[in-house]
Amino acid sequence: MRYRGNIATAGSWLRILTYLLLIGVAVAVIFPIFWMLMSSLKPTKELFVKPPTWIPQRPTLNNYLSILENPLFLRYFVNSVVVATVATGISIVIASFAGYGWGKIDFAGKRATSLFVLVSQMFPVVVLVIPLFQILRSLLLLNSYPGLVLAYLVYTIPLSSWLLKGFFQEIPGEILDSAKVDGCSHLLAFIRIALPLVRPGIAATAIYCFIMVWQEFFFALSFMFDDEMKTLTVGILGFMGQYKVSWGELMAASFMSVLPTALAFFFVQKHFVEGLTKGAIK
Amino acid sequence: MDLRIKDLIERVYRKHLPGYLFILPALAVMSLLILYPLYRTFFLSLHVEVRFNELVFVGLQNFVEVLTSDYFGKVLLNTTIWTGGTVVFQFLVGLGVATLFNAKLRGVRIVSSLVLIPWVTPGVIAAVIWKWMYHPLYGVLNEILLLLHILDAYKPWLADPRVALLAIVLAAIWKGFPFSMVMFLAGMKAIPQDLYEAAEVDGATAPARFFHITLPLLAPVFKITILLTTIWTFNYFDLVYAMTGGGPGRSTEILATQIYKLAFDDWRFGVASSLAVIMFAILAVFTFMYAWILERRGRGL
Repeated sequence: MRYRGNIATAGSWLRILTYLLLIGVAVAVIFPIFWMLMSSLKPTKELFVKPPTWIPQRPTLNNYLSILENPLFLRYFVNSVVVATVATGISIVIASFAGYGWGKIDFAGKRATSLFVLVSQMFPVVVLVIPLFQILRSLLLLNSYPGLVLAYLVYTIPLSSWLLKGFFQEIPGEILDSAKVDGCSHLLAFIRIALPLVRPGIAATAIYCFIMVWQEFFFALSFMFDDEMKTLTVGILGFMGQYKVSWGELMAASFMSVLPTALAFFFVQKHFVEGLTKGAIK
Repeated sequence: MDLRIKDLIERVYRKHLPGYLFILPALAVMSLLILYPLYRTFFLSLHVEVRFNELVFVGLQNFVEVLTSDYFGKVLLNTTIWTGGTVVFQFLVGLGVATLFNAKLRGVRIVSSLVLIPWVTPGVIAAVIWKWMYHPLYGVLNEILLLLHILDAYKPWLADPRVALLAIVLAAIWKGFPFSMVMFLAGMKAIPQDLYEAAEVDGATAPARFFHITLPLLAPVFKITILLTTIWTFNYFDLVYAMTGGGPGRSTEILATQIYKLAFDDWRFGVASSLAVIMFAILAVFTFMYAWILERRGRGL
């Protein structure tokens, strides 16, 4: 018996309608990305014609070449890479321990503290920004990599602890119990047995953290104001107000900043969606 | 006696200490960077910074200033429209698209992963793209609406105080609906197929199956998704700041952008903190009422 879901059974006209809707949705959702790509390939003259051309008449890579020659753009890119990498690395180390603690060890206050982790993920950062600014100011860490990395732990520590907790919980208890019978302490069981088993989970969590930091704008805007220290999101917004940078270059810069995380995302999409929906569905 | 207490301490120590040691670094970071700043915002809201790091206690003066200011009402209204509009339409679009993707058709998988692209697009990049599409002279959206005969002339969407906020809401729906879609789709996949088969045998039509099986069984997913998207949208700063900066006039100013401006344009940390406390209170009240209503309704059923 070929049962084919609850929509497509009603008849072939309904199936055609579903396909049409599907194509409509896909076109509408992808269009802004398509338009970014098309605009980035147009020479400046062609960007400012009315009505706009749908496909570049004389496609060119000039926008990409000129934005790559812009020393500030490269600097922004490097800043984003450095900050996202360091924040992700620190978070993964701290959150691996925390994830094992919350996922695999029993202690008084476990429920309350892990609830704190859950709530922290939805915490309004706008409420925290002024005191964080003052803390970084007192530590002379404004406008510096360590300062922004520290601020980003606000997002990444709760997120990665929560995700890794889930991955550690999936390890069958017997494996760790048998290790303890052999006289392994928690630390040894963690390092020798649990950590290797959750390696894919760690990779997915790291990519998730990286994407999150890469996207971030609010803290970067508030804590980094020297041009050489800005990250990509803040830098690109700064380009928008300038006559020196055209819309074409802006679109090229945008495309190059979406590409790395979009690719990384598709790499871990399965883990990502599972981790996201796990708590809500079960 | 002494030995027994010692033994007890020893056992408690053995039992609980490893757990604490494992979570200690994370807990310390979160306390320092989340709990302490939260307390500090409340503290600052009652003070004025007269000189660098020199605070003077002023009682509720900052709150009085915010509540009687000419921007407070407008900003609150904008924030309500912004959050309400975005959440409702992310929900509806997410539900519609999830239903579509739940049909077992060829090609659905490719499309459903393409549709997630807006969600991994950084907010500022989304803002730059939409601003270009909304361009008053060369914007492609103007051209599309003209071709569809919805408009008879190009419009300056983001410069018109009457439509600017709605224009940003549209961009926010585009950017955020994939999250709702993913949640709903996962919920739909978790519904046992035999429920649909049994209903079909009993002669239930497709819409009837949708309203009597799919929707009720998705209720728990709806609850958590609406809560999360509301909290996120309420706090979402990037799109508004990058597309209009709160303008023209104050027509798109929301709480998040107003707090940022008070703090980092005017450098008035006390007033900005009191508005942040108000924002936090609104969110807290909303969350508790939401949870309370759902709990009560759940019990009544």
